[in-house]
Amino acid sequence: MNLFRFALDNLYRRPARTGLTVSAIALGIAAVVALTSIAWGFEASWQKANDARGTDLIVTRVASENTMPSPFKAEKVQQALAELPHVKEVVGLLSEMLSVSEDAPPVFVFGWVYGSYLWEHLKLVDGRWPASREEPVVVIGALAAEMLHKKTGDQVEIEGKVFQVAGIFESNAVVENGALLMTLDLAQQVTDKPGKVNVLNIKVDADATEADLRNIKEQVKQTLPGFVAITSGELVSKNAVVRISKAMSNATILIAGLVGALVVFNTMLMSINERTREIGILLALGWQRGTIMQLIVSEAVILSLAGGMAGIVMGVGIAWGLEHIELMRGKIDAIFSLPFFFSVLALSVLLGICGGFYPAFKAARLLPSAALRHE
Amino acid sequence: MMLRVVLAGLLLCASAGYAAEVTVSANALAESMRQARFSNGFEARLNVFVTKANGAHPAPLKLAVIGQISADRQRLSIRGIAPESVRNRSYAVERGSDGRIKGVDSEHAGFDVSARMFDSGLVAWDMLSPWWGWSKQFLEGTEQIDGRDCLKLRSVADDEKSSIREVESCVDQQAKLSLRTRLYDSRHVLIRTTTVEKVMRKGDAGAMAAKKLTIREAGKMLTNIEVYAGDEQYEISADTFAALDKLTHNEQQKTK
Repeated sequence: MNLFRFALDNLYRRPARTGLTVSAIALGIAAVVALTSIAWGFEASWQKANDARGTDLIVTRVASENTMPSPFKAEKVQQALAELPHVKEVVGLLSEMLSVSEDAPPVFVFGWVYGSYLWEHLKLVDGRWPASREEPVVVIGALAAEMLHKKTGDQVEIEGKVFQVAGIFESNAVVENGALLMTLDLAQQVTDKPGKVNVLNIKVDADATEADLRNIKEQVKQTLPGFVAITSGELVSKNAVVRISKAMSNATILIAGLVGALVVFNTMLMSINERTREIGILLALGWQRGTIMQLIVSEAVILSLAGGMAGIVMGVGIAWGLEHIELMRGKIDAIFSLPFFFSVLALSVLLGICGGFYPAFKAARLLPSAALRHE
Repeated sequence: MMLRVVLAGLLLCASAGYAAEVTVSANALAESMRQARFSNGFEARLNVFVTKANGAHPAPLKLAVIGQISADRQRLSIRGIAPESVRNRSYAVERGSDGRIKGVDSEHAGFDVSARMFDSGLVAWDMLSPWWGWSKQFLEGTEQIDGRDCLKLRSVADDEKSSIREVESCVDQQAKLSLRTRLYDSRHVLIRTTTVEKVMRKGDAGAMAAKKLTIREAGKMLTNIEVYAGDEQYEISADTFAALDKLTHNEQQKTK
């Protein structure tokens, strides 16, 4: 019988305790998987939305940390940016989180410059795009249409003004799929922010290099005090919500790690106390102390690995469930990857090793004569 | 021994911190609160949920508040956005350097600035917070509200005819925000309490603003307010306070 089989049999002997330990570890790992995937997904979704638009740099206010940076007057900044070398297009974007229906949670309402490149990545699945910058219509993301129970031709009320749904679009980014889109002029009117935008999107020409982008960033820093030019990734990582969700996910990893290690530690300590005589017999039969240690640590690792695998399944389920509850639909898009799952499993193994090391060490130090006398 | 030294040190630090907190004078605190409100222009959009004394919940309101606050003049415009019943209703209110408060509604008629607006707990007089400018201010110790330390400040009205005679605020000095404001009449009967439930950082400054607050009236009506959008650099247009300008003009004509 090999050591692994022996360790497995030891765990089978106490199915209830093994089951409870695996469940406790699984719960911790599930929390880690769900929170981390949501935090990453949130970040990725915003970045995907910015990247999909084809924006190379985003100009915003220095201190902006909210999901959408605070609005500013676009005109002068836009002119200054347009004059920078390699800048092909500078377009504004205004966004607000607004409730457009009493039955549905608030949704993002985006205002994009009519006819700008921002619209190009969207796929119209029904209806049409706005015909002019002033036409009082909106197009809505497929997910928003589903959440708000709206179709082409219906009406939506935004901030006390009624708009017709001209069409329904799809986007790669869940943030956009769950949003309502109108021209920037209309968005400025409806939110009473004439001439204001949250960010200015810069698209550079095909000849621009990384050095040119760095140069634009530097020029913005020097010539436009209070503003900063950053990539979409930098904007998203500065976002307060992203930072909080990442901090929460890290805290969960830490707490789940500690709790998991303690659970394994407690289980293995109880196990070796109950099996003192058995360990004494193994030592008397000539087992090396290192082999005893390997046996106990193997049992701990099997426990935590099983908990880790169950936790991954549970975590994916929790994240999927959260994505589909009415309040969160269109706002989170959990992302999973094989490297992430392997990292979680590695964390589980680490928990097993940490939690099992002391009990293994204690078992290996037993004197066969004392262990055999143990009642 | 070591433990005692550490404990004594901690005690000293704590008492020094407390002393530093309370060394601020009542008038200085009130003045700092008055100044913290200064703005060339701001806009806030509010969701207002009312629970009437009988437990009824009228349709939630969406309101827009536009303001311009300086040392010598405070002006606010409160406009209904939704539902339809409030859409064309608005109120504008002004407090001049003489402390006189006047208001005009969308019907171009004067209105009682101490009365409720939009059948909710919102009162224009409260929104102007005139008590920060009163001369009689008293500090009454410290308190913790939702884990945040605040200094209790009692403001007593200079004008004995004022319907609100005393205001008790609990001010978070760092956030420059009153976490709880209690308004009393001349018989020291509590009229209403405004409590900040959730705060948000003001965009580019270190100060905080209320994100969610409740107004609880003695009549048991409860108003929950949530700021869902805002603009701290709102550009006041010529017509924002046109009704107030017209009112002032008419008053000047009458006095002539």
